[in-house]
Amino acid sequence: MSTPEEYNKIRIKKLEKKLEKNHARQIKIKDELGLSEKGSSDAELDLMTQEAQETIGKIEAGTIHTPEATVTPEISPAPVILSKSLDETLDEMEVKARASIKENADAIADKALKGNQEEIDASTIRINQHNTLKENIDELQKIRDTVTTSNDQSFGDTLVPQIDNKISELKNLNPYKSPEVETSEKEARENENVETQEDVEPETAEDENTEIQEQTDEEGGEQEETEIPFENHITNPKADTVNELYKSDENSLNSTFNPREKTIGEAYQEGGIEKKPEIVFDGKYELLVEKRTKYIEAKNSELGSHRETQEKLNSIRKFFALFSTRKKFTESYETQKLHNEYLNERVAYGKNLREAKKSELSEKVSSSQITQEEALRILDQYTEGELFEKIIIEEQETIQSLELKKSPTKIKMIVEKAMGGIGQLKEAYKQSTPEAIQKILGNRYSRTVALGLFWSVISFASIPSAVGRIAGSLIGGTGAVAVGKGIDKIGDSLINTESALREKATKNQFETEMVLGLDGSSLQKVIARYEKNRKFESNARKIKTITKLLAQTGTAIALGRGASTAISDFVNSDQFITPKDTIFDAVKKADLIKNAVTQNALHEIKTGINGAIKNVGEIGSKLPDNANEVKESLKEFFENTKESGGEILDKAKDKIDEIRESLGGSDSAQDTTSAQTEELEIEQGKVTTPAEETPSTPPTEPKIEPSQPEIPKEEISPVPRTPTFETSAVSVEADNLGAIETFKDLKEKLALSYPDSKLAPENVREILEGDPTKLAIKYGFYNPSQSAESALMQKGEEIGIDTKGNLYFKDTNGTVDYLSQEKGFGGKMADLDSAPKASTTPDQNIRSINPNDEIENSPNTLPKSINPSDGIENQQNSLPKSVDPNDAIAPQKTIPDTIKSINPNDEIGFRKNTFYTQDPEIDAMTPRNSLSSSVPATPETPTTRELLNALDAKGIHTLAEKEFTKDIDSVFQKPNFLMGGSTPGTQTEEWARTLRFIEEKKVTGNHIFEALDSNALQNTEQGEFFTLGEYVRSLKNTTGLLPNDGELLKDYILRAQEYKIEHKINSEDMLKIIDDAEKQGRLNIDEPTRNKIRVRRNAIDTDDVYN
Amino acid sequence: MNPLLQKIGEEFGLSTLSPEKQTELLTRIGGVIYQSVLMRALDQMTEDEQDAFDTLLEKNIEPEEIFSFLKEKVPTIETIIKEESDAFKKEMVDTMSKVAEE
Repeated sequence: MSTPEEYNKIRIKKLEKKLEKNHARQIKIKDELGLSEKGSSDAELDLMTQEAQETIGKIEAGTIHTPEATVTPEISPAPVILSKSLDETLDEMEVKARASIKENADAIADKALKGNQEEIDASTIRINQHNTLKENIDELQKIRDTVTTSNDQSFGDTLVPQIDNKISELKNLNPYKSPEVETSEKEARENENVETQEDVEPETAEDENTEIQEQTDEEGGEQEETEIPFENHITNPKADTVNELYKSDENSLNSTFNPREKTIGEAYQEGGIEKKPEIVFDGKYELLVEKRTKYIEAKNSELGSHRETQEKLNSIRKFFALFSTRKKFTESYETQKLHNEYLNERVAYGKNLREAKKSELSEKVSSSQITQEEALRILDQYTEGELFEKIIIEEQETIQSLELKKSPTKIKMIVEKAMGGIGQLKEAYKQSTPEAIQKILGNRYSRTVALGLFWSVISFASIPSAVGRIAGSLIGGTGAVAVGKGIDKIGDSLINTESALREKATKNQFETEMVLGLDGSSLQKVIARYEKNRKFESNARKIKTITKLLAQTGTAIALGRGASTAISDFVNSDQFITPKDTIFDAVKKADLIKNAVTQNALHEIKTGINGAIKNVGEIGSKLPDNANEVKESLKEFFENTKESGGEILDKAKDKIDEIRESLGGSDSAQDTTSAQTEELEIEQGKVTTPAEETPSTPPTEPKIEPSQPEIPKEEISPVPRTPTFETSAVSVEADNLGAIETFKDLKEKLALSYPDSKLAPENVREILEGDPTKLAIKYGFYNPSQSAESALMQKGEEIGIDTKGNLYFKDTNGTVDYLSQEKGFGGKMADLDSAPKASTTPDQNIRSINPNDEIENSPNTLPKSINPSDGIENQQNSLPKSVDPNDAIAPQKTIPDTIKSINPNDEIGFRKNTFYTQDPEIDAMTPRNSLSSSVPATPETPTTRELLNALDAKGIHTLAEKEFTKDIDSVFQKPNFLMGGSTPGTQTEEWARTLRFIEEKKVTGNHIFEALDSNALQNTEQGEFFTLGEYVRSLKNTTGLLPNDGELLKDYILRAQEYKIEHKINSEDMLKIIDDAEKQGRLNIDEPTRNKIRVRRNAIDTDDVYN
Repeated sequence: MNPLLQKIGEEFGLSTLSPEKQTELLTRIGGVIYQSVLMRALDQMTEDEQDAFDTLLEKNIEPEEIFSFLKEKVPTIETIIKEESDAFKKEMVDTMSKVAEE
């Protein structure tokens, strides 16, 4: 235990320290409150300091003893004095400090009431107070802890309670109470309310309150905890909890320094926005603006997310080299609700405006300024003009402007640029300055404006109703082309819509699978589906081509029949393609119209003129003096017709009639020549036109040959018939496999024009639905009951359906023979069982020959396989001719004995460069069932085996060509609308165009891969480049080969195919063949390659998709 | 006034207005539809295509050329045009008929 002197020293030190701390604390509070001037608290503090120092002096002088000295009676009062003095001093210090803080806070709070900024200051102060007081309380708590741990009983009795009281007081100074206090107070208030509600007797309540008050007084200081801090009364008198109060202040500060965008309503309340005059209508304009803002904000937000999502999905698509398009944005349900609210408000606002106008007019009527009728007229004008402009056009423009504002910068800039003209024009209109309007119309922006209108018109014109009629009847002659284009666009639109729907379904599925996660095999399946989709696209392109013909014919008929009437008819006729039509409906209608126009108008003109020329030829012998003149005259007409379309038709008719009349009447002339001509034709085996038929030239462009030999009159239509809208002319070249195959070809070709056979004319339907063999029998091409059972058909001969639906046969001289059951094929028949068989039996000495070998360079003594496409035409008298049970070989084309062997499997006969040097007009790639079938199938000749026997470079090259063609057959399938789906094995005209293009442009392999890398390949009118690109990509993926520098694309394709063959990366059939070759030791494949092939083969086996 | 515009004006119920006013309003209607179509079309394009379109706008070209470009890059452009035109027309008819209800 320490001595009294030591103890006193300790006490003095503690007191000094405490004084120092209190002083510092006071200063800190003052600083934080911004109280620079000296106040009462400073004086008090000085006084307290002085008193404390005096006490310290007494202790040092020994006049005051330590508490331990109380054992000595003479010094016992001193500690009491000291204790009392210290207690009082501390107590007073804190009380005064509290009062001082409160006083200053009150002053600041009063000031804060004056305005928003002051309120913010008050909030700041409260938060600062809270923080400062918290620090003080923490400090006091630390002191208390020190005192408590000192084991000094006198401190425990005196200082600790005092510190506790001060902590309690400081807590009460805090503008934010603790949750515990908050809760108890809240409960107390609720109890109070309950008691009030229970109609407690006032006296009783007062007594109870008194008791409570007394009780709390007794408990000492607790009553202060129930006091509601004054700040609460200032800012948040209704705030219930600490957090609410604190949050309130915090929000207040945040809103000042980070203000959110005010709503229009709030802005109006604050007077920040100048109100528009329309505000007079009961605030409806405000509501309209607010609803509009809410709607467009929601829409913009969703649109932004949509764009972001689509961007991500597109990068996935891009990664998989899939086409990149985006989903249409659709508003969510919530946004649609906001949209509807906005629209309703727009109606309400419009109604208010109209009602106001009505009131105004009513007053004028009442005061006799205007009549009732005038008022109604003015109201109508107002509704259609000003009101329409305000609530429809202006609102729409505002919506768009708000939407554009939040769009990505690039889109914003482009749209602003594109819309610049309209904006300027609008301003000019507003200012009513014709010069300005004219100026704008003269610059390039007027084109933009025109485009807007152009689109509107096109769009409205696509509805085959009143507006469609407008387009037809008003645009007039020069507008015919435009409407034609419009029709074309509608055709495209139909295709695109249908195609888009399919795409959407596929893509949705794709995206779902992407989300669910993909393994390798399902990925392949997804991509395979996309391949199918692309094939559909390819088919759709065909339809598009047909609809384009529609556009052209729209123009043609306009020229022939008068623009307005014709176009109006088309637009409004039942045949016109409507938006509801499916692709197939569209095709059907397109064909009908095409037929109606092209075949029955323009073609009819040509046919008529040609017929007239022939007629002239026929009657020329009777009128030798003027025949040439007539012919020349008609030739001139025809040439004009070619240039100007069908306009000349009527004139041609008149001219022909004139000629007939000059000849003494057509009827008699025709009648008298008919029987003679028929007899003559039968004799010559040329023309066998049935007497009852009305002949017509098939739809090939007629040749005008003044020196043409005399033609029987029956071939000619003496008077061109009135166009009837029945069918389109379709013909096929005689198939080297015979008549049955030719009927098959015709059937397929007709199926393109008539997707639904039920809608085809009767004669066409017979072909479409009939069995080719039965058709061949019916029309006399095949008679199994006779020894000479098969018709002899030659290359260049045709079977077809003319524009009237008549079946005809045309020989190589152009002689047309109309066919019926009664009067069928009148040409030569042959017995195939006897004549040509010898030629199909391979000589034992024959060896297989590469089909690429040039026939003319080969010695006749060396039997060869022959490519049917090689020189057949020029050497048909000396080369082997195809043989088939259904075919017959003309006697004059007997095969020499020296050349016998035929490669039956050489389906393609594919010479170097053949595939890209095709006839542009017809099926350039020579379909398998045409060229390929020109070589008869002779099962006895295992040609593929023979090729493999000589599997040298040439053989591989040939196989490569075959594989290439096979691939192309698969990729570019021929659509079969009759059966649905596609017919593999026939290349399409798109493919021919594509190949022509790459040939002409000398496209290299690297070109295509560069384009692939940049996703620049698209199917266009010039070719199916996208499809080609995907095919080439698959080749690269399969083989791993890249094009060499400068290597032409076709060479790359063939090289890759050769690689596939050499490495057994090929179809199942080819793999089997090469397997056999390997077994026989003709191929050597190393183990790694074999493993690689095995993997690929498995892939082909499982999903038919190359890895 | 172009007879075609006149007829469209009738479709929109603007026949009581002066030809000048009709032309103005129809021009603005065309502008509204045009912008709606453009916004959707641009959303369908890649960045490169947008750049190409921007360049195209700088040139003195015919509307058909713009249309051809859009048609090439946005295969569904016809559908978009029709949808936007129909939407505008429907909204206009709905609003105006309700406003004019007595």
